[in-house]
Amino acid sequence: MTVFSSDNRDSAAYPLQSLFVPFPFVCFTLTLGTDLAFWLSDGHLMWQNFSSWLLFAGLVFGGVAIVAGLLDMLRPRTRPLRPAFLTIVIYIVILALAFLNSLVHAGDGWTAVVPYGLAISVVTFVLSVFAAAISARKYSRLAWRI
Amino acid sequence: MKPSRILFASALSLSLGTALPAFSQSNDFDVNSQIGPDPVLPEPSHPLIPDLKVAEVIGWKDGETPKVAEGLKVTVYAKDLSSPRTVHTLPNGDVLVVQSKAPAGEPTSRPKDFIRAWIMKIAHGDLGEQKETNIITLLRDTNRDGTVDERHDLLTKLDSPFGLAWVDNTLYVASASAVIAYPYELGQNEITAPPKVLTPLPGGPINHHWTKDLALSPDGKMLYVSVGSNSNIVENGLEAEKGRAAIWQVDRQTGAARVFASGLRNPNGLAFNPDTGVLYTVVNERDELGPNLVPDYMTSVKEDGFYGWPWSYYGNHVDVRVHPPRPDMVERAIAPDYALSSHVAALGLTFSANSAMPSAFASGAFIGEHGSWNRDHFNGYKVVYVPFENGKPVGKAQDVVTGFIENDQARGRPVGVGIDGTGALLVADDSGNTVWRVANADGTVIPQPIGTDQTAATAQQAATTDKTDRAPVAAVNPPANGTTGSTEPALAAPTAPAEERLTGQAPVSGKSDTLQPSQTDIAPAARP
Repeated sequence: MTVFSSDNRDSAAYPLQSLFVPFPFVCFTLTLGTDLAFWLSDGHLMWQNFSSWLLFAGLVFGGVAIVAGLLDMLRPRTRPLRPAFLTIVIYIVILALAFLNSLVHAGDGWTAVVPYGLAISVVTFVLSVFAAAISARKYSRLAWRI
Repeated sequence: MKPSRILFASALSLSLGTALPAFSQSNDFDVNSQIGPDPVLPEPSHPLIPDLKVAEVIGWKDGETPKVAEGLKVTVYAKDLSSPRTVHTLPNGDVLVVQSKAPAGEPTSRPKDFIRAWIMKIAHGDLGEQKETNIITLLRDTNRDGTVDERHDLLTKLDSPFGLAWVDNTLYVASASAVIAYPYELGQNEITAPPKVLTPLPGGPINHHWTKDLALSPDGKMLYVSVGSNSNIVENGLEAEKGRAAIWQVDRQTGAARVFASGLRNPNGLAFNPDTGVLYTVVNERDELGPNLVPDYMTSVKEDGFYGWPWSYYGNHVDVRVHPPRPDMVERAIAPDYALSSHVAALGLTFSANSAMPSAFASGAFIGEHGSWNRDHFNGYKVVYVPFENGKPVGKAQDVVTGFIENDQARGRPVGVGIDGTGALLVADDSGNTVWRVANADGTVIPQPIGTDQTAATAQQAATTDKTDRAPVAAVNPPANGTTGSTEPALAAPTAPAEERLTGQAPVSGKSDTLQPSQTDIAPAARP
């Protein structure tokens, strides 16, 4: 009976952050795709707008994820599931880069994406892969679901 | 407008400005080096956060007025208006004030657009309660003493009007989407006759630069319409710019239109130099290349001339934001005549010839500068005078009307300028909801009113109106044609009676009688 017990105080609870952490990874990866599409289409504006909104959505939910992560830190039953320190640092760097990238993307015309917007998108993507690789080695992958 | 919001906005720009020092520009640039025929153009910068300094609009208290240059006197001509943008004097001395606001419905396609829309609202003082606007009001100074004696709302519920022209008993109104012709005889206090759409213009739904100004050619045959671009720098795509960033020439009889000159990002203040008969305009240039680029300018407009937008500015200074590049267009681009400094937002232009202004302002142009919001130091917010010699602007612009901004708070913002029926300068102040009259301090007035449309035809009609003493309005009409023969034949008005000409002004297509034609009605007038 105790095996299935869910009110055991020592068992892990569902970490709130796992709802929100995936957003930046998904959004910023797609931003790289839409930036490439903008470049290859010789500046079709739809792709620039996609990139802007993807960056915006990733930042908003990424910010919520930080708050959720702090709450998870405070809860004893989710605290053990916290990600490694290095992944937290990389995660914050990713958000900072994406914020910079959304400022670049807010410019008008071709140079809002090519070359600096596209370059930052590439760096953000590489960091995302790196963060996922590190967290995959930890059991925090359960929390991050990636 | 709450001060806290402004504080937030400036705190935002400040903190980001200090966080990213590499991207901000030095503040010691001499703005005067960008006033004149040959402006200093620094290297473009692409700031991550465009500079932003928005003035809170506080309005004028009773008794407060702008400051004027020596030898001038400023008084309130009309107050409690609703965002007055332009003034237009009829040949009998009546002044029409166009009051309008930006048309609704510009789509927001990026997160940035929401922020921009909010900033523009602060800059226009639009956050409070809205008075009804989009009105044309007639102001009549019966005894020519410089004060308005009668006030009538001629037209209401218009589609964001801006420019006006009057000739042959027809009032032409340039709305945000069309040139509309209203039968109107001098002295009338209301307009009841149904209007006609003369020519549909590039309008919504984007209509980014929506103010369409009007000027009548000196021979009275053609109308010139300014159509601003649909974006800062084609961020809505080139497709959205067809027929835009241009001055159109419209045949008054048929409504046939073509692009007369292009590459003018946001032209306004169309006026013919009465001395030379050359068309002039003031143009708002592009943003987000730094606080000292690109200077707004005044220029004469050459037929089929191309002035650079979007591919280049000031001749061949390429704008790398526009892709793909068009070196062939850059090569064609004409550098404008006279720079007015960056981001001053010049919107009004009128020539001082034939006015009653002091001799210091005898031969030149007055320019209304709405004022900046997208640089770190305020620029503009005044009316300046540019002297002309031999039909060309020379020397430095002089401040004529100032005091619109004080301690980072705007009491008003000048837009359109004009000469009233007594020869004094009128300044439409949209944020201050006032029209200011700036007169010669010694009280000089011109012997008889001169209309803004200084054509042979209107001068003649004014003379006729004087004879009939303005009272029986209907009587003005037939004699106007009777006197045609007395002027030079080349400048004579068309020979058909006024009523016939008016009916000849149906739109070319003959189908549209709505006052807000659809985009699909617009003639393919794009050039080049």
